[in-house]
Amino acid sequence: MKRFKDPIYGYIEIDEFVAENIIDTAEFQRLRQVIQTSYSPLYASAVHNRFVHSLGVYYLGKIVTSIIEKPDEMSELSIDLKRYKTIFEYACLLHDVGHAPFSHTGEYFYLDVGSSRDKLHQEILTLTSDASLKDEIEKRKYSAAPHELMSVIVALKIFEPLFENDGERSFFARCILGYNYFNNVDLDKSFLNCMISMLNSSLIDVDKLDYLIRDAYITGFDTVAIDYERLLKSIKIIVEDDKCKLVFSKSAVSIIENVVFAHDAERKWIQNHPVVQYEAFILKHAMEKLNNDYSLFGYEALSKSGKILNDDFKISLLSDGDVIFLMKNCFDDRLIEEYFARNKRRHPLWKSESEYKAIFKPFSGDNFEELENEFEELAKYLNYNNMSSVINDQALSALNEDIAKSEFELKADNQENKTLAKRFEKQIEQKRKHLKWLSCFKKFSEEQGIDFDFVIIKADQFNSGFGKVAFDELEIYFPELSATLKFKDVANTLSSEKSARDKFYYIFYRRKADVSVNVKNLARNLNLLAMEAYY
Amino acid sequence: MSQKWYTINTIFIGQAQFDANQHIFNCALSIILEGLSMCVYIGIEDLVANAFIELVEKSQKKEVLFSQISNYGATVVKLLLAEGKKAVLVLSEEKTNVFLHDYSEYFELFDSKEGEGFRLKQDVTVDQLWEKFRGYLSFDVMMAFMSETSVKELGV
Repeated sequence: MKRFKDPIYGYIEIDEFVAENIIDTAEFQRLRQVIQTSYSPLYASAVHNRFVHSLGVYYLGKIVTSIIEKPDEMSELSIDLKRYKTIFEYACLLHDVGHAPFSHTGEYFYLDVGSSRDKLHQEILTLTSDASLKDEIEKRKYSAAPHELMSVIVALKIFEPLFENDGERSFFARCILGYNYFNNVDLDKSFLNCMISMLNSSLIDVDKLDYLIRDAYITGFDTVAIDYERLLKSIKIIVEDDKCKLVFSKSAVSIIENVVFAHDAERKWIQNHPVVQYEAFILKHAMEKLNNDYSLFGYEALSKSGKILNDDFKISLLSDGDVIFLMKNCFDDRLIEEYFARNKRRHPLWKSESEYKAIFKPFSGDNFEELENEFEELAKYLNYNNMSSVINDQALSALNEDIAKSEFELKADNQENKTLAKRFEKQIEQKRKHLKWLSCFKKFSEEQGIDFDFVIIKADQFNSGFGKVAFDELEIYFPELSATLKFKDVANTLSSEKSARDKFYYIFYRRKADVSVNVKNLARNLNLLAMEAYY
Repeated sequence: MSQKWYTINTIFIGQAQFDANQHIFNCALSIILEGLSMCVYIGIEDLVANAFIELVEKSQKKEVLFSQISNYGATVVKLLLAEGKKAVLVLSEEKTNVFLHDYSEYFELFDSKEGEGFRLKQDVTVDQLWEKFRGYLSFDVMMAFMSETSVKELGV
């Protein structure tokens, strides 16, 4: 038995077979060079990696497998439960083995043109030979995160000897992807679905638990404690309507509330912090360029054999360091320079949602939502029209050109279809409104003596995997009542309504020495424009 | 409409060659200096809403399968790529859940023998969809959403 000392869980015991055949391999060791979060610009200590996170998830996964048993109401399972528990543990350990560098920033580039998961799905179907999975993917439109798909492919290819048959390979894949059995679900399959949800669900699973606890611990961010042991030991699988169902006992309600609180706090105060958001913006730009120039994000670069770039050199076991190397050597642009020279970065006009509201609400009052909608539409128009989040002369120019194109089309088509022409006119009106917003920013920059050079970023870019709304539907078991009730009916938690609609924006600008920016005029003028549009 | 778009594009550039050249130079300079994003990101709300605009305008249908939306989106992306614009669809289960929650007054899920999909709610009009979901689309992207090639994927 090998033992890893972990600051959170104490000693994590690992079977020697697992240590030698999984953990010590190059493909797993790669995770030491892939940072877990994007929080280090804000919390300098947040440099923990996916290697320790994977060990943590494995540890929690083993608590789960030690707890869950076949419900008494069930006759014997047709599957070898001990073996499937081992497969589940493997899935916990390997769930991130195909993760892209730098958190989730680049993972969409794993997908095909059109963001299609078809190719990756096809590869998984070939590796698992599960015809039922093919049907379920189509019917249920399963769409796992790209890194999850890649992790399954890497794991099934590299660690193939771990599995004895296609059933095990399929279950392993489903655990990482969160793809439940859907066709012909009997008691056995519904039992396995309960296990799948303990690694990947929109509610509580061991992956989310570890990162919530670990991120808070490593950053030093003060948040509520999560008694993970009590939470996981409260899990039960019961039979209801001839199906197995995973429930938490009533003793877990307070801990579940803490999980919701911890998740919200991390999202709001760390993930949504402007420093974290801006670094993610820079890295996204870098990843786009790398993908455009080298098609870097795929199985080849993740593997030991690697991918040859431009006949010059090879990238293998792709990690954060490789991306940084390429950023230093292959690009020459201002944004990449900002990654390395923090003193050259843009700064936020406001540093939190509270500050944003304090600036804008005095002017907008009850019409705050209209202002938020306008911000959203502007950000989208910049994205669609200029493929960018930058507000500058070039953006103004591009928007003018787009309006001209639309007006030309409106004139050309005017006689044919009056209804369509009317809709076009309205659309052009809306575009002119966005132009007014840009002009407002330009005027603001002139008044303040700063560059007309802003970036607008929506502060909710992170996919946490938490389905906040789904938390309300979590099932809580009351043994004395022999009944389960939904979490929303038994607990007072933060409402899920607001956080799902969170859409506030940061504006970043280029600070100048000895220039103190007063954002009130901008707030007043943008509010006036927003009200003009709506009333 | 899509046929006309290519003609219009050519005419527009022909009429404003100097300005276009200046604009192209400015773009290139910005890309070099600023490092502009190289992708259009298409969210699920825009994909679904624009699909429904086309569906209702052309066929009065108010339901679309997930598979049809997926194919529609893939075609839109390919059309944009053919025009030199790289696009990425930002789709995931989480994004879909958030979309259904945030836009619950417009859309809902449905289940049928053919599969699952999105349904446009009864009281929602095409004008409302245009106003909410087309006001920020660039002309080029809108044309890709409206193109016969992409709309065909919706079964119309």
